[in-house]
Amino acid sequence: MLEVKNIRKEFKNVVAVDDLSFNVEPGKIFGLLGPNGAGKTTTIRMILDIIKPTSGGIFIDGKPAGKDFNNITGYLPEERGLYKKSTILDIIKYFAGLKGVPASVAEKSAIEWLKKLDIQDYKKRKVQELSKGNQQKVQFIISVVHNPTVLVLDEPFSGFDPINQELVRDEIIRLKAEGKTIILSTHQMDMAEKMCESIFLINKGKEVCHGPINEVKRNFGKEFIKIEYAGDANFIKTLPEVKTADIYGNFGEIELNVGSSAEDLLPKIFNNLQLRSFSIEAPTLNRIFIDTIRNTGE
Amino acid sequence: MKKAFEVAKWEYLQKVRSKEFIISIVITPVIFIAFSILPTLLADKDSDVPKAITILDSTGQYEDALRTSLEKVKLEDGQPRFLIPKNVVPKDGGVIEARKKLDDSVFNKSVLEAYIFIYEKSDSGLQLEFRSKSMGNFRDINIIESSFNSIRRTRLLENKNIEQSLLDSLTASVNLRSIKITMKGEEDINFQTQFLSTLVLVMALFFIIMFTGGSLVRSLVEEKSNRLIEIILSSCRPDDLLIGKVMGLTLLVITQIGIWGLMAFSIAGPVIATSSAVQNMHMVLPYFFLAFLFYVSIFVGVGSMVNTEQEAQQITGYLTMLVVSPVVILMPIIQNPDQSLVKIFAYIPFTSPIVMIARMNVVEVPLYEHLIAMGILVLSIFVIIKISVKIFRIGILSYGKVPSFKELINWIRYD
Repeated sequence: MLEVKNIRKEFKNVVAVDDLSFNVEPGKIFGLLGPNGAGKTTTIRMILDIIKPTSGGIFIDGKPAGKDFNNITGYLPEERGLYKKSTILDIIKYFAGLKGVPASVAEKSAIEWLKKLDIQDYKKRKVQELSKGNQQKVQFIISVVHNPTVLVLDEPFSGFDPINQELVRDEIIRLKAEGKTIILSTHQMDMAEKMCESIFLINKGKEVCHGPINEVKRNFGKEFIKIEYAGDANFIKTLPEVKTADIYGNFGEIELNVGSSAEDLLPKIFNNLQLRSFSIEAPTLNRIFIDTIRNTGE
Repeated sequence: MKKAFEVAKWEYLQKVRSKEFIISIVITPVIFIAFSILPTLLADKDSDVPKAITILDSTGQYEDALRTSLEKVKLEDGQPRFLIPKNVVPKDGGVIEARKKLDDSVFNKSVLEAYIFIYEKSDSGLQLEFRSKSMGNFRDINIIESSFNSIRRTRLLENKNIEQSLLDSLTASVNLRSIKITMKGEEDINFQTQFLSTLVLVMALFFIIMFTGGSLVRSLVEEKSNRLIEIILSSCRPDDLLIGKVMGLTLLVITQIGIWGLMAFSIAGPVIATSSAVQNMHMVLPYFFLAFLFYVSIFVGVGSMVNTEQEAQQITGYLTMLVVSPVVILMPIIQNPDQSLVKIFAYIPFTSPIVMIARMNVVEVPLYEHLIAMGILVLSIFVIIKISVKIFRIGILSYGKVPSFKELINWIRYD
């Protein structure tokens, strides 16, 4: 198990990360979420020993992460790039070598991964000859080629088309099933909601909420009414039962005032719109994210 | 340390296969032959066509003798060096008028390229002028000057009734040869070859540092801008990365020098084998590598601070100027290798390698001076690497503007 204990990072009088603690269990995907500039990257850098925390520390299976911890971590940074003039296989082998993997083992593993992601034909090509999507795949391979125990993925799906997103997603799920400890940092809340067992939300360097995803939803409390319809739904905003309503055109999310119930609302809507669906739902992660960040921001 | 080797291997293999490296292997020698040897060769190259000149002698005493003497001088291919047609000097109208006409004629280059003007000045005596459109080949001027003086001297002595044999020995001149005394005996010094061989070595050092330093800074900028640096630093310590890069580049330079050495020996083996620069190689090479390490360590530290290709170029430019600055004092060093100011430069790490390489080409530098100079260099390399590592650790992860000097001091103090 990976334990992050009371890490704090100060840069020149600015506290970038303030006393964060959480545990990540093997075989689980852990969502590290937060708006831009919240301190996610700094947190990731401290976990990966790229920078040292001002105080606090990282522990693996109860022991402080030592010198060889580097060799069991894999990292896919948010901003991508590769050596343009080098060949794919060379680059993958180099990074595997930096993780302490012998060249022959690295080559075998690299070729397996190239096959899995369907780019084995490009192994002797130079990076600059590859499409952006394929370069992203190479980057993904770099983060996993040395069979790391702890995997940190920062926006792993950005830049992929839907088909490749699915390909990469399946591989991440497979790695999870193999028992890897996976930290996923993303802005795609729907993806996080579908993939993560637990999340950690930070804003301005501080913890906002954290825990298993169901627990976070339960604690957030508010239930939403989701409607799908045809017609003009703007009148809903003016109804006395409604606290807030996000009206999208043929889809809407409605939050009720305390004391009002869905049963009161349904007939009023039903009579004025062509309603296709009406459901009572737990809040989406997206909703929790937006509301919580707004509240902590004020 | 194992990871430093991994970095070194990567840096070396990627660079040695790159087009830039292969081009630099070929182009660099061509460039420095063009820049350092060619001008000297051209300046040294004698003219190969006869020159049409004439003589305007207002004293009327030297024209015939000077003409006879000058007409005897031959070019390498046997042609006369000077063509001195008679009767081109306008006789009517006096000296001032004649000079005017000759000036015009030289300026318009109708026939004459130049003329010699001999006249008497009331306050300072006999005057000799070589009047031409351009400055004139210094050999021509030497020949004319010595011919004229020898004629004049002979005449003066003849007037005193001095015996012919005494006259001959009085007018014969003796050339001065420089002999350098070395441990192995003595050897002739030719100033030009000394200067040239030193210049070639210094230029080679300069090109190597410029090339490797530049490519080092560029690779740092690349890694920083595509954030590969984060993956690298999540795999190894910054110190490993820095040391690995320096090792890889050193290996690259050894390859480069090896190839150049082979090229040079296969083209001009016998010639360079005897030059003192090559005979001193066992002492030159250590300075070469110390200089290389010294400057590359500076490049790593400084290079980690920049973010863009433009900044990289700018900073490489400044650093290159630093590297090349000792060339300015190269001439005085060769002329006066044991001057105390030169010795001071020999102990300053920035200038020391070039000054020492230059000095040992012309004098026998005592061993203790080598030891002091190298000691200072090794020590400063350690200090520079220590400082560079500190800057590197922070700089490599900093984006945005290049840090101010104050921030830099904070980086160095930070632990």
